Amino acid sequence: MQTNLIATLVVGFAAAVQSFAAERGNFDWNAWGHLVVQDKLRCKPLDTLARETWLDLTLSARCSGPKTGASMDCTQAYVSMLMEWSGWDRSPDKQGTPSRVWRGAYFQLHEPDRWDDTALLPVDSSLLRELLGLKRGRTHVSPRELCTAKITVSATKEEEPFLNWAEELDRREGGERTELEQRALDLANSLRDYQSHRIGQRLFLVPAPDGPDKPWLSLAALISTEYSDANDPGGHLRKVQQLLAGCRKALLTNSSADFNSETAKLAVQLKQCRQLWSRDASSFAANLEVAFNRWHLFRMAGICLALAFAATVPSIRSRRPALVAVGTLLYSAGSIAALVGFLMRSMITGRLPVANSYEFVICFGLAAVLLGWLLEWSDRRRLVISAAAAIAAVAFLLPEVVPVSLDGRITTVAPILRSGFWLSLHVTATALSFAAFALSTAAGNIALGFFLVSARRPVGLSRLTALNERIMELGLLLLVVGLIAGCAWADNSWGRFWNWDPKEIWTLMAAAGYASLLYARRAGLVGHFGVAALSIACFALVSAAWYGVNFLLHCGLHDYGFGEGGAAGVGAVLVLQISYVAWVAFRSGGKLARQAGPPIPAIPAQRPGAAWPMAEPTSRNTTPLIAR
Amino acid sequence: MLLIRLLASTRVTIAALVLLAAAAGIGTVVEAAWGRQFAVWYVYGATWFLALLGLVGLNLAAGILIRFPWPVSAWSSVAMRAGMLMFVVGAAVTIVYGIEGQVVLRKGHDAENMSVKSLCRLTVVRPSQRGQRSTQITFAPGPVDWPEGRSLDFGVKDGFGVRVVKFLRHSRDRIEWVRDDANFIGPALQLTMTGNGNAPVGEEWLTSSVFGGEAVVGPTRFELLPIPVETMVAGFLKTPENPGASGSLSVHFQGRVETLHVEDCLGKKIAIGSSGAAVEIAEYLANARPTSGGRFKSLGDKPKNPMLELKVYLPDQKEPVRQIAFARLPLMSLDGVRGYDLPVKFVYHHAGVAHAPGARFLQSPDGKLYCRAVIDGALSDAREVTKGDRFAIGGGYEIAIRDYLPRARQEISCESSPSAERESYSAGAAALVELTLGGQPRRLWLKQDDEQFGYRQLVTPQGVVTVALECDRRPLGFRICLKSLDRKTEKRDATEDAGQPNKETVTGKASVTGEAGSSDAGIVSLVDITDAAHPNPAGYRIATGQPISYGRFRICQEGCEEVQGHASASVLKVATDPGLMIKYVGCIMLLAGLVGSTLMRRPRLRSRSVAVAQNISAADPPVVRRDVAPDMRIRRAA
Repeated sequence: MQTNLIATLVVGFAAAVQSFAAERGNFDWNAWGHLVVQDKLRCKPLDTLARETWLDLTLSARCSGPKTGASMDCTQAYVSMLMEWSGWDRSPDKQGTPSRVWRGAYFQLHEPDRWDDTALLPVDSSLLRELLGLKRGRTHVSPRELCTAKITVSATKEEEPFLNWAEELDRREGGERTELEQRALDLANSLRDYQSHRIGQRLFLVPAPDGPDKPWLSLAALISTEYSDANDPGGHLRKVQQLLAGCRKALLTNSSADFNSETAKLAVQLKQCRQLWSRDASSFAANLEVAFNRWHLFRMAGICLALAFAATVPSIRSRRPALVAVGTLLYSAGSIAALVGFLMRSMITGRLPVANSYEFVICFGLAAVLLGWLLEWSDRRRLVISAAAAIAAVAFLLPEVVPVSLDGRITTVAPILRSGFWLSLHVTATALSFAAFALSTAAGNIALGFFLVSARRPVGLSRLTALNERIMELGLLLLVVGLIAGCAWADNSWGRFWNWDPKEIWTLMAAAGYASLLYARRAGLVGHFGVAALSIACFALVSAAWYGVNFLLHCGLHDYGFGEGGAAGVGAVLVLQISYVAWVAFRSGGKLARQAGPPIPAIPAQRPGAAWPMAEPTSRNTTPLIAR
Repeated sequence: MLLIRLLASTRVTIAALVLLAAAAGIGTVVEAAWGRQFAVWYVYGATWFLALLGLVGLNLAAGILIRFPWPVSAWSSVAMRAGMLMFVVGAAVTIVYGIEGQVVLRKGHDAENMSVKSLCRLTVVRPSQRGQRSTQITFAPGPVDWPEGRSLDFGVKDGFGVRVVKFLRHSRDRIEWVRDDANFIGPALQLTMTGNGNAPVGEEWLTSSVFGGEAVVGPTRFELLPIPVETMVAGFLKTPENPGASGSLSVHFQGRVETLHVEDCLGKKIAIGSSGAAVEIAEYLANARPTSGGRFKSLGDKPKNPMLELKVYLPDQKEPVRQIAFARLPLMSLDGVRGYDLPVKFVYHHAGVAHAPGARFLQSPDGKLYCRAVIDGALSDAREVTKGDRFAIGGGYEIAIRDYLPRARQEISCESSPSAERESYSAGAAALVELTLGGQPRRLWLKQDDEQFGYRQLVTPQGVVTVALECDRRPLGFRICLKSLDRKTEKRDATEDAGQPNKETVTGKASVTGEAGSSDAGIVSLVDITDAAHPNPAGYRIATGQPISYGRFRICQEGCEEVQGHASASVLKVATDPGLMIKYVGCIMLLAGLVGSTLMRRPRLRSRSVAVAQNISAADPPVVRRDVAPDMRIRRAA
């Protein structure tokens, strides 16, 4: 039985590999993916450029082939798009490329091909879909369709080409655009991006021979320039031209051997050009980035941690060694993947990756994983590790769900984000504190669950509350460290220590909230339920400090972290949390309120590694609710 | 003692913290909705917010005092409270005494003052027995337009009353011309132009100084020339016949008129009758263009802009005086440069000058208005015009004179700027200021830091009074000079320059093509700073995100002004923060207290939990956590 299963799996895997190889057609796209290019003031591998271009054009991370819709490697798609552009067949003197490629000029240089007929460009507004006359259910439009689309503008009631209207919108100065107009302009700009990429205007492949500080030469410029001994004394650029032409010919004639041979030569020639004309000829960072792109370490970490959560949750109530082992193994695998991913990203960027919303979320996930290890080491009851696994899994998988809001691409950072020590300390301490508070919230939710499942006062509650307190104390300490480091960073980079910036204020509010809760707990003003409920309420302040300021308020000096979207999701989570707390209070409140007792219970000592007991004998002296 | 106990209570602590947090949170929402200035004015810098900070400070201070003498076990608690107290005090000191200003420097220029944008300074300069006397009044107008009825009365300052009647944070100016025989600038003419089919084309005020004025409406050009001398009128009203290839010059002096043919008189000294004065046409320039040093040279021989260089010999002066005469701009002279009017006047006619379509209006010294329309490039015969007249100017256009003010002055008024225009450079703040001089109130609109409307002059019985509105300026105590300004951006899209290499704007010196994250995009100013103690310039580099400290000031690169995409001036933020050190010390104490509190509590908890496990089984002990509830302990002791 088992042998059959394994054989089936092996055969299936082999078939999948064969199918994948067939799709790739034995062309060495990998070598193209490793080519170093310049884009937006950054050197990166072509693999990254292809992925980012695809995401920009289609708003989807999944790359699919023309017409068939089959999954495809982004580099393959990008290079195929370039090579199949028929403008290359024209003589160099006739390859004049228009400055603003939107419509006619593009098709004057090139016959529409399979890429132009592929529905690549998303039309995400129903009003725009209606305006363009798209059939029901169609959400994408092909570049050719968009070029020929005619619309009836409501103001004039006359039919005119969509792109003419978009050009008028682009030229119009002053006055705010309507939602429809903005979406239309975005769509037209996507078309322009598509066209400029296809023409080769956005692929900067060779460093400028006249100085390392000069912008690199684009493929379009390289192809359309006639080089001679005067402007290319070493003949390097002519050789690149020849090799590019050779690659193209081999691809169009479907000769994979020639293509691979020409590609290898091209890679060598381009490296030689970089050695001659660029400051850094090393391909290490680019190769590392390709590996980083392909391994999807954070996705892998997210999946491992989600599975670890699933494995460890059942072992909280009753100890099951097999599940514990599997859970720990998965958690370890997830931790390693996340840590390696973080280190790789640090090496690629040359800085600690804490400069935008995406990087903060990743840092937060990693912080949750590390805190999970730390607290599990001291507690050993799988509760913390389960919660940490869940939180980190959400953090690592969230960018996969919302790739536009949490854009993971590596970009150059603002000068303000280059001041080393204080910024690194500020963000890492803040991420650790947020992770601690997320764990505290998880502990609070579990504690509330204790109230629900047990009619009597749960015995594990005291321990859980103490654990929650400990996590909150740690989080508060880290948050204060982060806040002070942030102040020092602001003093060193903005020239002011504290400026009542929204981010500063909401972080201070979160700190004040947790400090008040801990203080009230110490003073005996809140009991188990109060700690659980208020730790959840305080996390709302933490969420406001990050999500609220970055995604809702959009004001202050932390504008490099600003983003859009997610309000519905965050609102739904908030409503669910409030409902949960209210429900628990309603179910258990009356019963517990009648019980009188001391403000703070002690923590019963338990054997390390034991399961959490769910109930204990009723005591006359038990915990009050929020306030006495 | 009771008050201290009350203030030190846990409930007050929590209430104060929650109140402060809530107020600051509201401030962030206010900032998101109405902007930073609004939030600073109404929340963070408001008295009630300072009072709230004071309450938190009192609570913390009481919390420290009530524990006196401080036991060793309570050091972390005291340190935390003291740290927070110092932080709050530091924040309050910064709000009250901190100054934030701006210095805008062009390359090679220096500055000794900074502008404080949040404060307005009203300066009144008036004549006194000891020369000019200046009075300066500084006020904080706030971030929004003042509501109707709100005003700020400064009382009587140096013998005159000052009141700010209105203030607009973002204003749009409206200029009108009114008749004023006493304080006039020159004549003003309101024209309405209509095209084919009586369709309105434009309406314009045509005004003039002593050199004449012009207005352009579409393809047409209108001139208004106030003729200074009666004898010149005839020369303007009728073009001389046969002026010659180089034109003719009519010379006017003390009622005498001499007409000279340029070709015949070039280089000769010609006496003006028997007045003792003489004129020499030093040079004829067919197409004059200015060069350096206030000189002119001719670009070609075609008479596109004919001009004469003249030497004027006056009876009482040995050396001749330089003068110029343009055929295109008949009243243009060097009098303005020299600072006084030459008594000898010139009118230069040149047949080769082509006039743009439009009309030339001439105002005679007695206030009469004449018009010569330009039809087919030539001036028509003159006719006297008055308010309400209409006449054709060729090309199917007509003009109507809606109003004519022989002696007029500008009247400026301001209104609140529409929200769409508020970001524009011209939408600055404006104030309606009322000055009471000799019992007579005078109101005038002033635009803050505006070159044109930022200052006004009033003619009063006591003399000319100058009033100016600008943002407050504070001395830096040193001189800062901009040596160079570099900027890098990555704003431009490569597709804007399709077919060209990657033309992302690179103007800086540092590398931009390095590995990820190493590019140096931003603004870099290299400055020299000198002061009394350091007279030799010391060079500093101020870059985005890399401020410097000098004296008590922190100087940051805030941005740069751009002209046609190029950085033209460096904008530096200069700030003092007297509460900085207090806040730093507070932070260290807070952190130390927090670390102490977190670390010191753990062993005791653990040991107690073991005791509980041993003695009381799994049940919660009916004891108060004395080790962690100092407030309760204090309450019991009391």
